[in-house]
Amino acid sequence: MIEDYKKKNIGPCTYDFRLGEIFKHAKIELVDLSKNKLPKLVKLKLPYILKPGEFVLARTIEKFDTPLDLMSIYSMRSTAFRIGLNILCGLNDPGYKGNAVFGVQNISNHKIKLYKGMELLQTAFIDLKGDAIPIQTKYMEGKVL
Amino acid sequence: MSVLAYSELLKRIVGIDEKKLEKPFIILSKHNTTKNRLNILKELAQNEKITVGKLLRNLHQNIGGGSYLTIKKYFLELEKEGLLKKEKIKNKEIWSFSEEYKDLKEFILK
Repeated sequence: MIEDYKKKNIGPCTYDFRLGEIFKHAKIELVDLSKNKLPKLVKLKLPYILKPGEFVLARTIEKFDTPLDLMSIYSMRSTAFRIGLNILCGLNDPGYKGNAVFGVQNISNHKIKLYKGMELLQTAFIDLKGDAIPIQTKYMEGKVL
Repeated sequence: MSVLAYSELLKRIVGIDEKKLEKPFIILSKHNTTKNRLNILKELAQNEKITVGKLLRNLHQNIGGGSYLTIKKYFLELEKEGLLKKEKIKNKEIWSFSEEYKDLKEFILK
């Protein structure tokens, strides 16, 4: 279900992910999803000092192979907001394979160091009722954008 | 619809049934399993089949009489409980986890 996991990261009813890689958007005048005009991504080296207001996209070390009888909901770990980070995340659908991808924004007035293995995101797995169909997405295999 | 809790996550992610760990943990606590002894069991789990002397050497521990005999006595106690098994190859005693307690071995390893 999860590859490259750490047993100690299994919590009471959640799994805590470890930060693997981060990316920032290259400068772009306008993002227009209707015209598929998207920013290019620049991979950043970890550790990285995130400035106030700065936003990066992140990918976990762990990879999912989500069975069809489960889905999971991502949530920020409370450590994240306690130090001034906002974590932007969504759902993990049945059938998704790949790393979890999420956004990290520094909403504080101070700089915050991001490092490999940092635990900012968690997920709770939910047992589904009925038959799900596997998700079809362009973001499969942990594609960031 | 229900949220998976720790034991189910352990089963699904790690492949370990927590209920199967109750008995071996009772055995370990009954036989004075210290942190050092747990490290020795971890080394045993990593090596599949190994002698006590090699285990101690791998962990850079004293292989002299006292330490060796203490661990050997501990292993013999665990063998009586069915947790470990011993094979005699020539004049060497080779130790491994028994098939019955492979969940404990997996738990220690992961």
